[in-house]
Amino acid sequence: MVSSRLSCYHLPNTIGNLAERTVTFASLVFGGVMDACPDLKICLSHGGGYTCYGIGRMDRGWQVRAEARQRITQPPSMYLRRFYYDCIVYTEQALRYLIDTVGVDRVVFGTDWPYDMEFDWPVSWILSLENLTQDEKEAILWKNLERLLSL
Amino acid sequence: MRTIDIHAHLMPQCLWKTVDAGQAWYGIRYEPGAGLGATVRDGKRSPIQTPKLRFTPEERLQDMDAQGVDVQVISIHTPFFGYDLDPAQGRQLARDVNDEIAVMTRQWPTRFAGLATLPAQDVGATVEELERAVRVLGLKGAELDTVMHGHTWDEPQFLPLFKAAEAMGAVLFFHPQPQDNLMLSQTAQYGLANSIGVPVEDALVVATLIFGGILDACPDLKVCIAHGGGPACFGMGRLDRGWQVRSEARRYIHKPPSTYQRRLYYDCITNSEAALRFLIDQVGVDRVVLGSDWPFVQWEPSPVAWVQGLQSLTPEEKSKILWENLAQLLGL
Repeated sequence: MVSSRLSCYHLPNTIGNLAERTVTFASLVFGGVMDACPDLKICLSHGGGYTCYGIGRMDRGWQVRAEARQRITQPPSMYLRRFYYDCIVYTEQALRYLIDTVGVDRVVFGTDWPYDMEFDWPVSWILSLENLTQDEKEAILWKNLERLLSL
Repeated sequence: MRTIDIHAHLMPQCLWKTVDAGQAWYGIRYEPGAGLGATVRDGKRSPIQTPKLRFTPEERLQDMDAQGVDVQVISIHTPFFGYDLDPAQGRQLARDVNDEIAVMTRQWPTRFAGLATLPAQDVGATVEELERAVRVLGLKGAELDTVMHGHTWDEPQFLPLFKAAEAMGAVLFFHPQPQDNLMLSQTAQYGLANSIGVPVEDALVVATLIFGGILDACPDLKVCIAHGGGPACFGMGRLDRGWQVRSEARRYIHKPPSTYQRRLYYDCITNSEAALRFLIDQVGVDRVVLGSDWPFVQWEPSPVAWVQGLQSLTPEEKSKILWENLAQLLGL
């Protein structure tokens, strides 16, 4: 999507990946897939992209545009907790925002290994965060995935 | 308390008078029909979404009074930028629009300020029209699309525009054109081009200004981005990581992109309190300004009431957003 605008500065990755992930959420929700498959387990990479930050505008679109209400009778924000989101958001503020929006039980550990965009020390990063409780860190680092994947 | 709104659109009376007489205004015609009718250009119909697009200045003022907005900073409704016209037509369109906005600001100097539209397909003419708009007409700067008819603003030919704006102290307000949205190539469903595509375009212009070296080349340039800059500031962590690991991201800038985000202004149209709080915490409340997207967003009851009702903002923060920041930025 972003490459159609510009292909430099690594923006097709650093903005494009997050935009695409948001479209994934939106397609599954607005397209009625999450309604048709109520037990479907989906994890969105890169913290779900811009989903949690942009959900207000998606809700607004659902309110004012008939084409957004074709297949769903609830606003898209009602579907946020139907998904899991990995923690690859790069800043503590963005991670805190994700947790506060979707619930810590929906946030799971991810690294993007072995790509160059991955964190150097991803476990240490989570453990170092001052605005997460120990319970929240453990939920992200292993408890949520242990439950989701029956490990 | 005063209130100043930087994000308010105009479909000019010069356009309506022409199309209502059955003629084309720079290739645009009007077709009455279902609802409020539509403008048509090159076979493409764009429905008129609200009767407020026909408002005279007097009617606009009444609506502003109802919303508690003291001053609107007027700019052209974005489908009418006209960047794809031949340069002579583009110059004339810009003159017509800017002259009309200037009349509004002269007739109601305490209620209207203006942002020009520019014939960006001709950079020389663009600089001339920006000079005329600011120094002769008394407008505060210009509104620009987030891309220029397939070109991006970091291309070298546009640098004279940014240098000129910087020298004049002109404010550049970037706003995407929804009809030409990067998502439309992927899907036109569910209104996603507006709910996702528009803020992504906003984020891309933030990135272009930073990574393209424009903010370094023009350290005093005044820029405001619509819709809170989209998710640009939310996604700064990933932009910083890209800058660290990819040399193409370091082509023009030698500091991480996050160090530039406080150089810009952002309107408050973030669609949620939490997102606005995040933006304020990232860039500082001094950089966040009131915007309404008049007449396209139906605030209940008004953008001013929305800001005033926010629980997580202090009275000082609200005051800065509602008027202090723009009073200082625009010299109002």
